[in-house]
Amino acid sequence: MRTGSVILFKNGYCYQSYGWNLFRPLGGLQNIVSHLDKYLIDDITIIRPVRDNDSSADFLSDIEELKKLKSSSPISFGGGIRNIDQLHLLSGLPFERFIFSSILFNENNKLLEVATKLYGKQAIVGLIPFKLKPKLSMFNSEINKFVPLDKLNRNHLDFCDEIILYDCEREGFHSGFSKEIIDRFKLDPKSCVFSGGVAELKNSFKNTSYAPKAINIENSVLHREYSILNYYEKL
Amino acid sequence: MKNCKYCLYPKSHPFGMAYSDDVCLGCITHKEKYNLDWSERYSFLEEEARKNKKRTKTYDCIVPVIGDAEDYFVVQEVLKLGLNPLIVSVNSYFYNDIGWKNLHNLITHFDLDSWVYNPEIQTYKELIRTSLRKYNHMYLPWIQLHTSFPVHVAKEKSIPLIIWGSNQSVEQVGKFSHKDSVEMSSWSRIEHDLFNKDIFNLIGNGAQVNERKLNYYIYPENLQKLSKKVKGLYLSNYLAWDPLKQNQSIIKHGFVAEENSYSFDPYERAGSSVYYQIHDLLKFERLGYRKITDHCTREIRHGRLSRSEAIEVESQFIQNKINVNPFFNWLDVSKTGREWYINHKLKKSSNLISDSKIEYKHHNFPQKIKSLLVKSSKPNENFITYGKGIEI
Repeated sequence: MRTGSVILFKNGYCYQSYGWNLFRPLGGLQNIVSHLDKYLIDDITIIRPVRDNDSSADFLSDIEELKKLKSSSPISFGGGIRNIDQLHLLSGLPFERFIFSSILFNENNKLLEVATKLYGKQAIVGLIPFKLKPKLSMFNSEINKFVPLDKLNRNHLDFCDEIILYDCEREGFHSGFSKEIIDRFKLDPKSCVFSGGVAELKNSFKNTSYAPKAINIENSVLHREYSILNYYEKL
Repeated sequence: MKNCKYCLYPKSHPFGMAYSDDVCLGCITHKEKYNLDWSERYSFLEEEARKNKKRTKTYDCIVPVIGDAEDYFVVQEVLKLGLNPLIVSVNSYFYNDIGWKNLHNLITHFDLDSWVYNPEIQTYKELIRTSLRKYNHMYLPWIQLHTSFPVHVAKEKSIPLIIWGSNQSVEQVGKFSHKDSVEMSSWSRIEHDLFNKDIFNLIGNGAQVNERKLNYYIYPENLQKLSKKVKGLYLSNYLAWDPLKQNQSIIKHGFVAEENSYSFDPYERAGSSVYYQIHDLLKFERLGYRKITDHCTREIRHGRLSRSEAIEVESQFIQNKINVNPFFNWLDVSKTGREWYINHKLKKSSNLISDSKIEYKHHNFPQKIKSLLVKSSKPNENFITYGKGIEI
């Protein structure tokens, strides 16, 4: 199982998110990425936690920062990629994969088609932030709202090489990833990356029918030196 | 975004500020102190102590100290946990006679083994000059050593645990929850202790430094490969941290508080010739606020000052002038060099510089603060390179 880390990056700075609501400042991107490289993490997912308040200027300025990034780990990037012009801007970035989220709720699949043509299917990753309570719902960042499951265009998932299931309620806390999402959502865990609360080591997926393709540890990966080694051993 | 509606921290805080509903994360995180089950959190600490007790034939843990009041509290708590600590300290060369007395009294009062590292002074001074020139910061070289030398000692002597006092990134700006139990790490050191300026930022650009002399300035690598992995814990994640109250409580161990013309707090960094002097001035120059703002914010959060009282207390100190000459003399900077620095690098704080000795003034504070203060002493001598703090 691949073990990666999620970094939230916006306006040139990284943040930790707790329960999808509370953002704590984390630090400079390069220092974080250099340490994750040193810890031999399998891959790094950089997400701009933008909602309905994103602007082209903010997107451009973050892209300029990201161009300077030096890393020896494979990097996936997403957050606010909402039109074809933005898609073309990504070609200068030192990243392997691109993450799409709000487009999965649209009727139109044009953006995903163009992305596949430009970067190949293996580079397309879907991101589905979800919560189970009070009822199962998915977060559409473009409208900054949780919406019912049936608003998701499941056909669009065929464009994605893998899907990040992001547990918004457990994110940043020590309560464990809600693996029942797999049953509720009827997805093959082997095409999924679990993120949000997976750092809780009691929540082991090894040798179970819930074993995902990969896990992404959020905030806690930097909370102690070489913590990633514990996850390699136990997850 | 406006500043926090409760505390006095500006957005320029070097750890990064974030807000939720006009309240800074530092204030939000401080509130955890009133809701957490601290006995449960303390039991985590006891478990760590139990696991690490007698793992080596020598010491159970290292306590890095400078000899100020917080260090007395940390040592007291470490001994309560039944651990046998090695006290490790790096000579900053900035101690006054009170500083040396407090450091040596700490070691002898608690009757502990100690290891004081005296860095080669010419390299150290050259790094300070570079740090001043490039970053308007005079403490970076010492912080590099203070945060890496204890880790070297732990590695070399196979001591599995390092115990620090407070985690400032949690206590000041709430970068993490106490529940995250964040530990010492190379990442955090660079991000929070060194403000993203590791030792390699202090060489080059004209610095006359032999890299062979920088070993202990560099954080050791490959800690995870050691048979006994080195872990660094912060006590403030396991105890409801309250510096002023804690610091007053350790006076019984012989700690000497120092008269302070720049804050009501006579405990924090008592015994330093620079902390409330040139360092405070440079902090104002870089960030736009002084140490008194840290202290007032801390006391607002602990409920001992209202916001308006804090502003009033802050105003008693914020314009107090500083004589920078003793520091530049110690640093072997010529009169013209000093003038160049003041004219070019201390533009915002030029009105805070004085050439004469600053006399201590008595101030008036709200009772909740006054009740936690003690009689303090005046230093007799500053910048003592090697001192003898006690008579045996």
